[in-house]
Amino acid sequence: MRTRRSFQAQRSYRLPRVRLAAAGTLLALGLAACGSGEGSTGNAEGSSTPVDGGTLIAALAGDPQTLDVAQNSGALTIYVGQNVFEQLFQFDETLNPRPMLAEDYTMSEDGLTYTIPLREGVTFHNGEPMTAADVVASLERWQLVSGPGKLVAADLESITATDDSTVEIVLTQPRYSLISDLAAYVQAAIIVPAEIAEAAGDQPMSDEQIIGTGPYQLAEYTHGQRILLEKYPEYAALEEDWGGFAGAKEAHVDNIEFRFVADPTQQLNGLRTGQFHWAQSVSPDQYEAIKDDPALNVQVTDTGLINTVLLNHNAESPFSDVRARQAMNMLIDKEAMSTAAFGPEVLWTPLSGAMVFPINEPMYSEAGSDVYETYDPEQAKELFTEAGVTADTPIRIATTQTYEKYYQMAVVIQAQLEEIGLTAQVEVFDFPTMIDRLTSEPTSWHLSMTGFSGIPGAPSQINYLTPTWPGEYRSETMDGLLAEYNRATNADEAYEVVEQIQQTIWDEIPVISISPSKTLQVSSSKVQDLATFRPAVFWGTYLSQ
Amino acid sequence: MAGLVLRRIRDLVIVLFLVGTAMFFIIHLIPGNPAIALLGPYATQEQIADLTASMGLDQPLLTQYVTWLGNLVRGDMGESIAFSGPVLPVIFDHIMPTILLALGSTVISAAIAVPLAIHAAAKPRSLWARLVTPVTAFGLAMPSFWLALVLVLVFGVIFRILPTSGYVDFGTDPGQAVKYLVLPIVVLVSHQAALFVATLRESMSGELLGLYLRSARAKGVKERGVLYRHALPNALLPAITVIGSSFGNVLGGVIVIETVFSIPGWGQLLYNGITSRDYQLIIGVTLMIAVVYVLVNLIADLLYLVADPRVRVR
Repeated sequence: MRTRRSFQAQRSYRLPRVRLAAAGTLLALGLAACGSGEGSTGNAEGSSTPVDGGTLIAALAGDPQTLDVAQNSGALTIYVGQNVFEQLFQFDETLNPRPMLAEDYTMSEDGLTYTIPLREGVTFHNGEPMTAADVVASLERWQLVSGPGKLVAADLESITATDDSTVEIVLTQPRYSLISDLAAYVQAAIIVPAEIAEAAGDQPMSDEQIIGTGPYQLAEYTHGQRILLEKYPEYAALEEDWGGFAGAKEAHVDNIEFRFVADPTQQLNGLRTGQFHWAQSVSPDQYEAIKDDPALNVQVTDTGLINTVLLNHNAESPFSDVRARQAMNMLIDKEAMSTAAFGPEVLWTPLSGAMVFPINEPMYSEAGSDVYETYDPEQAKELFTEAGVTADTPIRIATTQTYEKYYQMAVVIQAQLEEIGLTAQVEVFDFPTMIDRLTSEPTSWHLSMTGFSGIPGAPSQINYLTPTWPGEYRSETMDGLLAEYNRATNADEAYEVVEQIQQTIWDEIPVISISPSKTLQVSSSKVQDLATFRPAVFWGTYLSQ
Repeated sequence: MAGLVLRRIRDLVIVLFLVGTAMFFIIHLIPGNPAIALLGPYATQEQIADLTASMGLDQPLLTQYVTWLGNLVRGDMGESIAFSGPVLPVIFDHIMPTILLALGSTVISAAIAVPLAIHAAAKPRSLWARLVTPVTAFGLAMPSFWLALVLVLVFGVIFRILPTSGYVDFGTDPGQAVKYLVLPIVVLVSHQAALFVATLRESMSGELLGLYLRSARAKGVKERGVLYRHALPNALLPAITVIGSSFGNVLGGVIVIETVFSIPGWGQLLYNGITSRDYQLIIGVTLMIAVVYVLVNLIADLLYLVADPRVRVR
């Protein structure tokens, strides 16, 4: 394996403490024969015995800037960080939270006190054992820097260490989603050493502060060029594997090198020539051309985003009227739009109108799918007229060409509006600008499009249900249901509320969910046992010789 | 000569002030800010506002400008957010690939262009002379990213004789380093060499009409000597200006080339800086490009002095 030693000449951020901790154990690395890779997550690619060693080279679309997954919500940060950090609880492959750094938990009768014993023998990448004090400090910081953390903070009385290995969380009101909140993978409640959590505070953790408990540790971060992760030899693996982000995580490759390659074509070229083993962003348009290539593994992940049409509920917008929202829903032929905008069918099926992916057991419901499936331009026209929307008031669509599919969606909607005699004005921005405008200029748009995570752990993690999200959706019914969800005491009760929430979504139409958007994950055929749960889950993966 | 250098240093200060000020305001006009880049797409408005304030980016723009200018005068170019450190060392760490690309392609382009241009000018009826206009037009018109991807497909993916992207330092492995630089340099050369050939051929054709060449031939100077020793130095004068200013263009063009080929130079630094709204880094790289541009043109002017005694007299 050719390594790019050249980087040593560049400015790089060696982490002395981690290196020292690792140095002592480096020799032992070869001797530490790991057990066989039982129960690797995901696909059945390659059923032979896993081989340890080697460097997996992954082409990442850009420099994540920071690996602080507690604060940064971007995919680049998460893809790297998920191999480094762990949480008290993490989602398994059906999105049920499982204890990861926690041993278990108990909830008091009134649902207000959670006692969480910690797993013994877990150490940080700096060699220090994980204690309850570290957990308390990490969760304190999480409340400062993370969206889900701030939501939890609103219901929080206290987080205390009752002894060295037990944490107690006391709430002011019941919050059924607490364990799922702690398991959220966007702006995640990662556990880091207390001194780091305190030093970082509300600022992003610096590269020297990237110290977790996961199967890989940060060895080098050369900004603009690469991130090198190395196997953490002291990693305390669980026995049982639940798939997803939870359970046994076995590191087979010695190093994971993320290189930043902005151009998707160059990512694919690098895969074809063996320069890379994995590429983040091969274009879905390439799917047909590469799916039978013997040199490549072409997978579709089980999870991803939900492609969504955003509706502006602002008083200035025609979509403040529920009839206009219903009309818009009836005007969109979801299958036709998906075919036009989202590439090969494997990437956007099944179409069900659900707010989450089917594998998300605690949150998946098909309630209200009859509304989702109704395609009736004639009735849509009538409803638009009733709501007072005429050709004189053009519907303003804000979209982006940063992601071609969102632009295609806008074009499809514009054509469909014009077919029933209405007018639409499409305005194109780059993605960050579009998102910025949606909030900063709430009267400048009526319709827009984006993607929301298809695997939220609780309704509170669905952004568009919160009034701070662009679109200003507010509903007493929804607020009542969200509160009721948190009063649930078991999974069955919670699921009943989830069904009502899904039904209310299609009654009130805060947004229009169009289809799931799965991710194409392309790797070289040398890569074995790569999980399909989410991209870049590299534990359990090995390189064939 | 000392006067010229002094004047150029004065110009440099003015250029830096203008470029820096323009860049400062232009990048602040781009929507979005470093806090958004650091927090990612699912951050709430509240989080973005908090982080923006804690980075001092909620101050009035003029206040930020005055602070920035004050620091610049003291030689402090500010801190990069992505690198969490001063900008200047980061820029120097990334200088090598860009200099190799720019210098390499300029030298190779000149080396290719001189004989081709002379041949085309000296033998106007030859096949090459007839082809030179369409060939250089093609070289100048081809978009560099397109050519880059085609070359990668042919030499990287199909024949697999060259790597598709990446960079190796010369100090580590010179052989590998050259391999990684071939395609990017070829792309840059295709444009630059075409420009040099077109310019030099024009000036050479003009020089060849000069009566002093007839005198030289009458004195028995061989044709080769007539072309290279007598005509070329005179024809080179306008070419020196073109080469100097094209070096600046190459520095701008490397943004595309370094992004396509994942080369960790100034171009990639600037690209990453822009995507993450790393304001100080963007201004820093732009200023350094301006410095190099002014310096290269100073060198071009000095070369003028060497090549043309008349300028010295003036």
